[in-house]
Amino acid sequence: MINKIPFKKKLALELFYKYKKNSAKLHKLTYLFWEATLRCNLNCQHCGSDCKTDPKQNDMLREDFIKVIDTIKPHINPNEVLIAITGGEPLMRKDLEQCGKELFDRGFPWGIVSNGYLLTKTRLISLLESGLRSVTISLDGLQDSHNWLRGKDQSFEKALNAIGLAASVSDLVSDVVTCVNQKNYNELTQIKELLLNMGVREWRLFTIFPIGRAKNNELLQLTPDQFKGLFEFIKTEREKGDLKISYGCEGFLGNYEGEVRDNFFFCRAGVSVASILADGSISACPNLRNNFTQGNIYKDDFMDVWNNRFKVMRDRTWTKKGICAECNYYKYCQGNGLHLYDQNKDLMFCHYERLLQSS
Amino acid sequence: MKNYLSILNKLILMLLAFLGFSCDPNEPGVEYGMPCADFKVNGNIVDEISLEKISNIQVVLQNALSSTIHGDTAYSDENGNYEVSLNDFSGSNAFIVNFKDVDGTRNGSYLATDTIIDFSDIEFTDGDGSWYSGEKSKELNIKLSPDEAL
Repeated sequence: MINKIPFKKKLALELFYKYKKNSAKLHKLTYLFWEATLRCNLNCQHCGSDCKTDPKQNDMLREDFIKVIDTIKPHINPNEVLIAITGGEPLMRKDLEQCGKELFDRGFPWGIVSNGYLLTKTRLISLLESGLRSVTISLDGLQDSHNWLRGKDQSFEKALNAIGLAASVSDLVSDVVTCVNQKNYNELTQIKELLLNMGVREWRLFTIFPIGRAKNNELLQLTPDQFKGLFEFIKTEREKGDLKISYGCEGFLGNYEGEVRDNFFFCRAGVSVASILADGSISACPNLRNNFTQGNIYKDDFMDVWNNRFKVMRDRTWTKKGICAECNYYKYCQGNGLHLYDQNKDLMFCHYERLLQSS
Repeated sequence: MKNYLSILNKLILMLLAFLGFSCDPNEPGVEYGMPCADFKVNGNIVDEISLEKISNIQVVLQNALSSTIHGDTAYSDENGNYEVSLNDFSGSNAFIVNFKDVDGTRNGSYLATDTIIDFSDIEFTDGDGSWYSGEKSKELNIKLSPDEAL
């Protein structure tokens, strides 16, 4: 039963609640996203940021970002803060290697989140020589379903090529992420086999939340039974231990907590995760609505913002409204991931509620 | 206060592990640290005409791709021997070794020279299986041209 949590797990969730509270007070920055560009070479159905091939927002100048990094460095241990370069598609930036090298020279590990379309062997070598530490590549199904979601022929072939390249570098941290939807739901076992054969070590699964282009597309949302089926799949496959499979940091999952991820649910937005967006906005995960923006690098000092603002993310009591107000497990969830809140800070999707709707 | 909370959180993670729930404090899945290695260059410096050993030549080892200048500096000893080493990103292979006469006309005057040294054909030794990839070492003997302008 999803809503029946055994005593031992409840005790662990209580302890983890304390851990989360302490972490919010500590707010130690460990993960900084940089939305390096809004340009993208694909046209994904589910794009959360509504990226464009030729967006109105210019790429942030490398110098502007590095200037911020130089103000952050004295306050933290750079070895303990991963810079995740995202987009748009980060490989669209021709100066990505220079950006990475400048981060490396300052002691920051850095990685990219990419659709893999532009990742060739030559480019990977050049990125590795610039200190690339981690790569996340998206694969959203087998050929037809991936190309459908990504809106471009050959995107499957290119993504597979990128996955193979990344997996072949033994000391590169790499994983594959898949947004599970109606089109690829029945392909999960085959995708897993494909990844295993390619030497992939980690696979993270997400569901698509109703924002951006995904808002009005029913094919992108799972039914309650499929939703539950997804967690059964992850749980079963994790027990086999041949590939590290986990579900993303999306929401509280009732009794599936502790079974489908290495962690209990913890939305770390603003607790240990920050972002610098393409227009200079300072926020947490890049997929949060802009009403969560806490400042702008062109007006504010980043560390001052990180240390003194972000209260809306570190004290989540405001999320106890609507369906959360009556939820038995609010304490352990605290309102799902903040990326699931709309422009009015109302929750758009509750994972636990969707699971309870399953038969 | 922050130390207290950090210790408390470590204790909580231990208790969770005791209960059978592993909680990775570094979620989202990241391995922190930097892949690094020691790159060493040693050799002998002589006058290209007389083949006499030259002491006190400044030797600087730098990553050829580095956009900022940081490197290891050493000086050749009385027998013209030198050794420089640099801890750098383990994916690097090309390094610049710069030889420069910095003591004026004392001990002769020589023209500065740069040499690129490539480590790609050597395997690492003594890595720790984690972030430290180990050591790569190469010998580079150099002949300096006398500076005839002085």
